[in-house]
Amino acid sequence: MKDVLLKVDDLKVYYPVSGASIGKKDYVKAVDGVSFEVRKGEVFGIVGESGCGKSTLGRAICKLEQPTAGKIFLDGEEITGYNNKKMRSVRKKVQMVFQDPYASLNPRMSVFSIVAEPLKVHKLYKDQADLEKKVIDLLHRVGLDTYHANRYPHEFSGGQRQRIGIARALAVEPQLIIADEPVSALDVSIQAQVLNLLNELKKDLNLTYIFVAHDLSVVEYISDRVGVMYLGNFVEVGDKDKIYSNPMHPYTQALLSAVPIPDPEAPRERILLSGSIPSAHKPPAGCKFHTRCPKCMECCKSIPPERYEVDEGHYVYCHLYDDRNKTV
Amino acid sequence: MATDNVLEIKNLHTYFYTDDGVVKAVDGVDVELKRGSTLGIVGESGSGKSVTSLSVMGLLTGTKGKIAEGEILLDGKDIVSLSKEERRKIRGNKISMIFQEPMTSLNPVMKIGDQIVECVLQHEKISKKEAYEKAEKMLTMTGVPRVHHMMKEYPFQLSGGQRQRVMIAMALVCKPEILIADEPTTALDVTIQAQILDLMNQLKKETGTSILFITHDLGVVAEICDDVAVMYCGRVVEKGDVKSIFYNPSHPYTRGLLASIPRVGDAGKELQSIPGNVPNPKYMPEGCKFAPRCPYAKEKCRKEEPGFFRMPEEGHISRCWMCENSTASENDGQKGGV
Amino acid sequence: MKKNKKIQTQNQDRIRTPFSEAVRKFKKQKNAVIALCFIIFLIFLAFFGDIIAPYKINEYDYSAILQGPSLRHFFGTDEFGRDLFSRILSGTKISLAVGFGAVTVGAVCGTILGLLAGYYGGIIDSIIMRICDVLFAFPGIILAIAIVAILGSGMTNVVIAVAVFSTPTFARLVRSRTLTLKNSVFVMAAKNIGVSDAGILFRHILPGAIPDIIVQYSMSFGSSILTASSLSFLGMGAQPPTPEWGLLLSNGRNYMTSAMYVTIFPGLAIFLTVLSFNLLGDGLRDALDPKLSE
Repeated sequence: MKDVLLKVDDLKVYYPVSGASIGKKDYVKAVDGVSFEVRKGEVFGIVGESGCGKSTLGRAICKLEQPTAGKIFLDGEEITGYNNKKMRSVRKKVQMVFQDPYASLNPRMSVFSIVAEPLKVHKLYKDQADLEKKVIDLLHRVGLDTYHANRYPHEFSGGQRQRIGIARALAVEPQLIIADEPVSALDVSIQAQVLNLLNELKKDLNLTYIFVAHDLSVVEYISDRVGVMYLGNFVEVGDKDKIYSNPMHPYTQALLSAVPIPDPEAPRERILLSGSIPSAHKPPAGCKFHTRCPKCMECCKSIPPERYEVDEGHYVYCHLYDDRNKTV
Repeated sequence: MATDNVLEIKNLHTYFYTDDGVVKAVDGVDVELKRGSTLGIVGESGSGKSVTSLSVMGLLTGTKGKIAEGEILLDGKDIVSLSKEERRKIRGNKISMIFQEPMTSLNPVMKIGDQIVECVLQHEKISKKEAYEKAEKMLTMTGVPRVHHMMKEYPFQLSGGQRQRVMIAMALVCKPEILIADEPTTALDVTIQAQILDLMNQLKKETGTSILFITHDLGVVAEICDDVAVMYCGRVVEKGDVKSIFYNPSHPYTRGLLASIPRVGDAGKELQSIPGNVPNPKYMPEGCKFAPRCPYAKEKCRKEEPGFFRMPEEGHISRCWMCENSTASENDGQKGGV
Repeated sequence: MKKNKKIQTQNQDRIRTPFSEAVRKFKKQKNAVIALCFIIFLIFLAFFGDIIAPYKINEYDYSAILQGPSLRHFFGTDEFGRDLFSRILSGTKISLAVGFGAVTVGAVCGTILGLLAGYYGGIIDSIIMRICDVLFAFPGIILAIAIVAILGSGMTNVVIAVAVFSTPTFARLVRSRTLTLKNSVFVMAAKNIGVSDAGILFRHILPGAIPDIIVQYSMSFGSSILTASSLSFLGMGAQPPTPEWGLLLSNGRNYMTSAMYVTIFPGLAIFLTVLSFNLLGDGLRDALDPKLSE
């Protein structure tokens, strides 16, 4: 077993909701008790539809959202309770790449200042010449040119902006990069460029990624292990090959069958789910998927499923794989 | 010419007259939509696919865009030259459109039912009660639950998928001949997207509406379209039925697009990407617009823009010099009047 | 590849900074450019008005009282035979100084309060915004009169009064911009790389609020000149014989029926100045529109 870089234990992120009656606190349970481990050098993909809490989970690991409960260990060090000051040293190890390349760069800063900022904050340079050299190296590393440094974000296309965002994240030489939907705002041809860049950087710099996305094929392309989320919980976690070739949870099955196949004659066996995702404000009791599940049983409506290991390292949160049900 | 094309766009040029000069968003597009079929227009951002649809709808007024040249034939009649009032009558009645973002295209302060009813009353002289019944029937067809309730609800009370269903109901309630769908599923989740695509396919069969489907997602195209036109920099670069485009793509751009989609089940293979970026419309390259990013570009490509060349499959044409040799005799030249 | 090079060099020609973009957009707006020229002209007059003026401001000439406009007296003379043109020229300095002083103080205080309120929220926000609400509850001019009544009349107190009532406008404006920017992804990105609170406030949020501040500055400039003149008109600001525009207007009021021009010219001066600042503000608003990606 390889070294564990990140361990998340029963993490919960709740947002208080305004509008609840006085004296009673109401919450949106964005992330509701998630546990997983990320090993050094692997890519852990998190997939799910909008509102499943995958972005919140990514941000909570970076402490950009305050976890309500649970523990986060980075490299064996518990960082859950760290305040902003203490987090500074941690930020050198974990960096984030954001979804929207148009919003994540300050429009009033030049590319140079954007990429130089982390170096300045963490004082990772000797003198001005060293700073300039480091910034230019970073730009080259992500496939941009020296002359881009003096330009402003609005002059770049989406793909180029995402490269700037990646350069900024690489500046502090992190071990773990959390990429929150880094390619979903990009065109297909550009998306492939950025995915290839991420893969290349991973090899060259020994990086570990947590790759959050809603696009199943993108996640399959880049990940080693995948976790499928639904309404704040994982429903299935396992090696990529196992999840994609042999999905066990009814939700994963439906999700995979819904992906459009770029082949007009490919056989299509759709599992069409009825309805839409319930609100995370008032999630259904029991298994949260039971309202849309084609294989819903009586027990699903009241008892939340436990984790069942169906294969080595392949976990499913579903009553179908409870041995007691199997024998029936 | 008695064709079975319900919509023909001929040599369409739509330019935007900005303060910095003219931006040729659509620069010579020829496509035809066969009756009862679905035509997909595929392209990346900036390819001019959405501007094409707005030109057809006549929704360019209020922007700096204008149709500079070309014809849009609806049932063989040109609609570009029509007056605003005549265009308005066509909209909703003969051509309807659904947009990418269902929230912003619904009026947030009007009840769902009233919005559909208003749509009906614009084009049909029937009583309000009849219109209401018609609206309810249409909404039922789109498969939303609790139709009776929903007619009295406001857009914010619905989920994204439900809103898109309402939009579809509004678009189809007047039984238009053509439905233009501009990225209708892009803002939706995969499971919801599957529902909506399924619905559109089913409604197409039931109502006989022809669909002009605009998208950047080749996966969706394979699911729903009969014919495909691939656009790049304001031009159609390749056109043909869905099988020829997917199984025998001839234009390097189409090939590049197909190779850059990660496919479920294909992991591990290296993803091919198209180098470079879409050129800035202000600095459009000479010759073939794709040449700067094309791995096969030759001197000729950089100097001279190719016209359309016929490919072996019927109706399959491609705007690439590489296809010249295979069918040199049938070269239609710059005009592209295939 | 050769072609690729060419595109890059084409793109390389001009670096478009947010500032150069704003200048480019501003130049397109004729009204605002004319207003700006007029304001520059006013500033010129404020510095050199006394030199240009054909007469001293307090030069009495009882042989020529209440004369109409003529070549000797461009704007005519007042009830003591003083040259109105010279007095209005000299008044420019006073009005601009009042506007500048009052609005600058208001803008600085308002910006700091707004940043703090917006960024930290909670109790700080509540306290600052409630005080602003109280100030907003008074009509501006009445608030100014009240402050001057407490502090006593005179130009310094007018400046203080105007500064006090322009502060909440800036505070509220900056606060609302801070609230939007605070939740923007690029601020989150800055937090993610470990930028301190002060760094985020002054490097990431404040520059985003500057366009709003500039626009409001120009608008407030006009209205504070108007308020200062009103106070002088009511006898609570500048005292005779200061050639303040409001005061000139107030003096001329007695002769409105016989000598209209004594009121018309100072009125026109106030009107044109306030109008130019408002037009400038409008132009700046369009030029500084945060949607840089165009």
